Amino acid sequence: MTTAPTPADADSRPGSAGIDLRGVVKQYGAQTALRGLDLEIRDGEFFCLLGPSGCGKTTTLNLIGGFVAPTEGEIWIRGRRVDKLPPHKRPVNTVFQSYALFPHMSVLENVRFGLKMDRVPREVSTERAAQALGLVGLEEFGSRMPAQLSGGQQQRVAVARALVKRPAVLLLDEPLGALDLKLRQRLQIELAQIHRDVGTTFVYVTHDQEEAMSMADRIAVMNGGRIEQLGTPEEIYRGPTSRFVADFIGDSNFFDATVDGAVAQLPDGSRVACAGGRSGAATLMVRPEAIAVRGGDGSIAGRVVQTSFLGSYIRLAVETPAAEAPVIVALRDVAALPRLGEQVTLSWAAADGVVLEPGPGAAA
Amino acid sequence: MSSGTGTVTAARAPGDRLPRLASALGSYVGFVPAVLLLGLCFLVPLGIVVCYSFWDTVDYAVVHHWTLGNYRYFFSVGAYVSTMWATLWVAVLATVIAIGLAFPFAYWLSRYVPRRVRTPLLVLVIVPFWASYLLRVYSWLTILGEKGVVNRFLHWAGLTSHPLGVFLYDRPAVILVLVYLYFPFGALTLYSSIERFDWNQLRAAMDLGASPLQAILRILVPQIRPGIITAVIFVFIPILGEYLTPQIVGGTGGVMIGNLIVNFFQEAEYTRGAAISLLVAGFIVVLLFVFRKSLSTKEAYGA
Amino acid sequence: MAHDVEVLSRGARVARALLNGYALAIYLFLFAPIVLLVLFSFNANRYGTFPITGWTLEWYRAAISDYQVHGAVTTTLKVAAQVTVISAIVGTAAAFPLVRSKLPFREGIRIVLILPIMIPGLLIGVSLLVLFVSTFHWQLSEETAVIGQSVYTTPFVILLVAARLQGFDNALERAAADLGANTFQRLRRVVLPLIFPAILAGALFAFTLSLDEFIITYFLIGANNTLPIYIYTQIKFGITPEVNAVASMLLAGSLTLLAVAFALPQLVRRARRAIMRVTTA
Repeated sequence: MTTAPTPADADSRPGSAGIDLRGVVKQYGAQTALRGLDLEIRDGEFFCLLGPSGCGKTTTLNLIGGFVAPTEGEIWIRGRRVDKLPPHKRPVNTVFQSYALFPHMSVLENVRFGLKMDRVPREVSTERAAQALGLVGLEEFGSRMPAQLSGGQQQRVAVARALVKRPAVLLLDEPLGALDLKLRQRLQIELAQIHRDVGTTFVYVTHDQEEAMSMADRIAVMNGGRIEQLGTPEEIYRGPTSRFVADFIGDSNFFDATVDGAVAQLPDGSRVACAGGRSGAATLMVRPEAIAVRGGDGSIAGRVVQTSFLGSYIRLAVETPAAEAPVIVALRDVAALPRLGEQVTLSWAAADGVVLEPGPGAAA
Repeated sequence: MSSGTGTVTAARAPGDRLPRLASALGSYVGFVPAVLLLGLCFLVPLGIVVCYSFWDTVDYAVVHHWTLGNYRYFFSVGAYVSTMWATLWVAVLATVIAIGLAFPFAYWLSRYVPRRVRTPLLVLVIVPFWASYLLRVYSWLTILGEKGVVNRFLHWAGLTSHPLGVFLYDRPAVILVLVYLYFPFGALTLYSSIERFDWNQLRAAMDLGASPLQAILRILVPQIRPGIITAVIFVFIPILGEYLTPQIVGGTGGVMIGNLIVNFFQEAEYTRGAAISLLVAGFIVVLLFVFRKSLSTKEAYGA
Repeated sequence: MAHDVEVLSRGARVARALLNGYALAIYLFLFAPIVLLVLFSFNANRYGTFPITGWTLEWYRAAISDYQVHGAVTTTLKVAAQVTVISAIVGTAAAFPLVRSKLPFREGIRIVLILPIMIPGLLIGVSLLVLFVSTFHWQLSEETAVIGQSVYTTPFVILLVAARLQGFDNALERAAADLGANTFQRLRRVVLPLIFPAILAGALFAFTLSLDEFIITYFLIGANNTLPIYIYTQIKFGITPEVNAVASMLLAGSLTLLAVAFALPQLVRRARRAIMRVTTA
């Protein structure tokens, strides 16, 4: 039953959340790493903490893992308060960024270590360790030493070692950070698969938005020690609630705008469509792939200053008096490709013009 | 070899072979002074000592007559044999205590001390070690001596009415001073080995359910085993050859094998002295050979 | 990042506090005897220990005007100077092939070169005594002590210079070769200037070791006295404040030299940067 709780179900029963952080504050001396964090992570979900370095995501992970004590607030895991417990007494296991495999033990001994600490009988622990290795596709590698494995294999051993204790929560601290792009993409798929197989709650820390988008059920975008936005990948991508989130997740174009209903007026006087939601001074955000060239009504004029062929799409940079920086457009349709220097008009559907609070550069 | 590189080599060979030979020889030239110094003044004398230990002394003159008599003599005198065992015993005890004290210190230094003050704190331990071996032994006289700090304190506290000699001139005093002398060496060696340890592994072990002590014993200690062995050996060996410490603070009760060796040579009994020296040297060489895989001079001297 | 390994449980915090206290106790243990020794050298008390009855420089005055101390200082410095020159040259020369050439038996050679510091000095002294006195029938002198000490100090110079050479960027020398420098020019213009701090540190180190060396010198110097031998012969008769003063001066000298030797590589780097700034400005 823990494997697939429906989101609505979990929401309706406060307190049964997998992990519950209430008003957590963390200060290192004079520096505040977390300012009053409230966060519920549901049982069984793949949850991502996403943000730039120094945003507090790793601190949050360390708080759940028990490597850092909160200055204020409470941490609950499956209805049990844990913030006073040391790491080895929490139902939580961690996959470390550096893997932290024990170099003097074989792969099997590494995986079995946690069970040995729990005094699980040898036959049982050997079998469970073998199972865990099977789960990550390394059943043949038990007798190898960690140094004899590739980076990707070491990473999977680290996952097996953490999962073998069947924790309530698996914490992953940028586990793919040290690997190259190709391998990272493959392991993203594998990790998501392992998550489906075991049904354990995964809390995954990363600064790579693509990684978060591709695996997570929900993402918390963090900045400056607080959560900027929490939601599914699609919610966050389509409806960012702040300029920071829009900027951090995917590519985006920003316009200073004055909004009135579903119409936004840009600095050059042109009037474009927007989703509305607030009036007065605002920032208008449009994703590159939502923009059409050679638009009709409600469009802005500009000149193509760069075209780049990027394989699956073509990227245009369009200089326009309506925005400070060139507007980026992602074109899928090669037939519609304008030439360099050509005058074009850009437009988008009202729903794609997301209205945000005025940005820091709005006054200028 | 591919044909391409073959032609290049062939084309360059006539003018190149001679310089290459010269540079090969040249690379050995640097060894010549060291070979002269260490060969003639270290290996050769050691060889002579080996010979002496198997030669005979007749009327204070060494005669080249091969015999095991010097060794037989050593083992036939009960006092010598018991001094040998006592030396081993003192060395083991002092080493264990010194390393036992050094481990928590090295752990503290590498785990809890901010990086930028670590080197100064380490230098603070090591610098006195390289300075004035004699003075460091001697300084204990002012503490343990008849008019030393300990006796003064006991007298002042009213615990004793006259100075006690017990703090000096016995094995405990020797062991205390030996621990004092060689602690820095153990601390340096252990530190340079713990310093490279990835502390995340300790976190990982605790994350997997190990208590802090279990994590240290099962994860940290096995990985720094070579460092521990280096520390143990390099503390143990010089203690075997200690002369000054037992001489100054050991009195008659604290005699070690080094004192025996010096006595024999001072009385010009070269062959018998050589035999004891060779026993010590042989034991050390065996130790070095057995543990050669784990020993790292880099760690021991922080080079 | 090392410091986000924060201690969470109470037990661990207590352990940390205990370790801090422990380290403090260790430093006390290491320095108390030395500090007391120096303290007593300024003590007016005749017996060279507690109680402290007043402060005086009398014992230093006495020590400095003592002709025996004079002789010992002269001998010590003469011996140390010779030992320094020998071990710096021999050690530097040996460090190059040790690090650079792909010799057969390099490990073996390395062990032989390092062996003199692994073996107790007593055995070096004894075996050289046998060689000089019993085999060659030489008279013991300063020179025999110099040879004995050099056997012991040279390996340290080898280790220090070899460590620096190991960290030496070979591309620098290849670049110099590429720019037309021959072997000698490369050595003279590129390699030696860069490893010079290590050689100097090694030389200072050898000098300090020689100043303080006891056991080898004790066997080999014959009728002469170096300072450690002088101190040793004096303390046989008990502690006196004059000896404390001599000891304190020797200690101060060694500590200063060693501190310089440890700090030298950094000092040289800083000085170079300062010179660069001046010359480019």
